[in-house]
Amino acid sequence: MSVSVSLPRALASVFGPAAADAKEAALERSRALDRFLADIERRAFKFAQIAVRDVDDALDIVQDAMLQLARRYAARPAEEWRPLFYRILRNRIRDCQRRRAVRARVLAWLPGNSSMEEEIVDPIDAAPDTQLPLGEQIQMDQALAALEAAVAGLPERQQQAFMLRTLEGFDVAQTAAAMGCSEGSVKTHYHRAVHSLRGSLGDLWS
Amino acid sequence: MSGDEEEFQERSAELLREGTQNLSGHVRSRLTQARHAAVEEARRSRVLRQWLAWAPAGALAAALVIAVVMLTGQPAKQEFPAAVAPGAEHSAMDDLELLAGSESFELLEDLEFYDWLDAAPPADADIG
Repeated sequence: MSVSVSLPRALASVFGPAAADAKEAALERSRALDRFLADIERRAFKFAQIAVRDVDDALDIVQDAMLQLARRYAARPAEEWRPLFYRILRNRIRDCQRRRAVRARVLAWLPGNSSMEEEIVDPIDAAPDTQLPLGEQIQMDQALAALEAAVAGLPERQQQAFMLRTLEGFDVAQTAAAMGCSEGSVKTHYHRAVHSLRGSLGDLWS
Repeated sequence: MSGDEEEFQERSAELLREGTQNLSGHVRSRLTQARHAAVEEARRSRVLRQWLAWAPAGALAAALVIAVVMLTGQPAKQEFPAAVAPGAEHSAMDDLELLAGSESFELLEDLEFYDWLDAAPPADADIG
C-alpha cells in the first residue's frame, strides 16, 4: 500500500517541476506571440490595405498570415517571426491579387456586377480613432490619402520595399529576407520607389 | 542618400505610422479577434506537436508487442473458443465420403432405420 501511494509522489517530485517549467515556458511563448502580433497588426493591415486597396480583403489577409505564422512557425525563435510574417503576408497578398484577376476575367463576361459589391458602411464603425484637432486631422488625412494612393500605384516589388523599409523600419537585409530577394534588388526597388513617390508627391508636399 | 530624400522618407514614415493609429473601431476589433485566434491556434499546434512527439515511441512499443506475440507462439487460439464445434470437420468429411462412395443412395433414404439398427442390442444378447 505504501508503495502504491509513494510511487506517484516520487514520480511527481521528479517530473512535476519539469512539467511546471514546460507549462510556464509554453505560456510565456503564447504571451510573446500575442505581444508580437499586437505590435505588428496595424502596420500589417496598412501594408495589406495599400496593396489590395480593400479593407475586408486586407483584414482577411492579415488574419490568414497570423494563423499561418502561429500554426507553422510559432516554435521558431521570436527574432525570426517578423521577416517570416511579412513573407507570409506578401504571399497572401499575391494570392488575393491572383484570385481577383481570375474573378475579374470571369465577371467581365457578366453584365451589371459592379452594384453587387457595394456594401453598407456603418459610419460609427468607420470613424477613425483620433485625438487630433479637426483641421489638422483633415490635413493629415489628405496627405496620408495622397501618399497611400501614390504607394498603391507603385509596382509590386517597389511598393513592398518601400513599405517594409519605411513603415516597418526593416534594414536592407531584413527587407531582402522578407521579400525573398537579394539585398541589391531591395536597394534598387527602394531607390526607384522613393524617386517615383517624390516625383508624384513633390508638389503636393512642398 | 541626400537630405531631401531622408526628409521625404521620415515624413512618409511618420504619416504612415499616424495612419496605423487612426484605424476604425471595426478594423481594430477584427485585428484583435484575428490575433486571439492566432494565439489559440499556436496553442493547439503545440499540443498536437507534443502528442506527435510520442508517436515514434508508441510505434516502437506496438512493434515490440507484435514481435513478442509472434515469437512466443499463438496464444490467441488457446484463449478463444473454436468457431466450429469439435467433430464438425469429421462430419463434413463423412458427408464427402458418402457422396464419393459407390453405395446406393436408396440406403441413405432409410438412414433412420440403420441408426435404430446400430443402437439396438444384438439379437443374441438375450440368449444366455
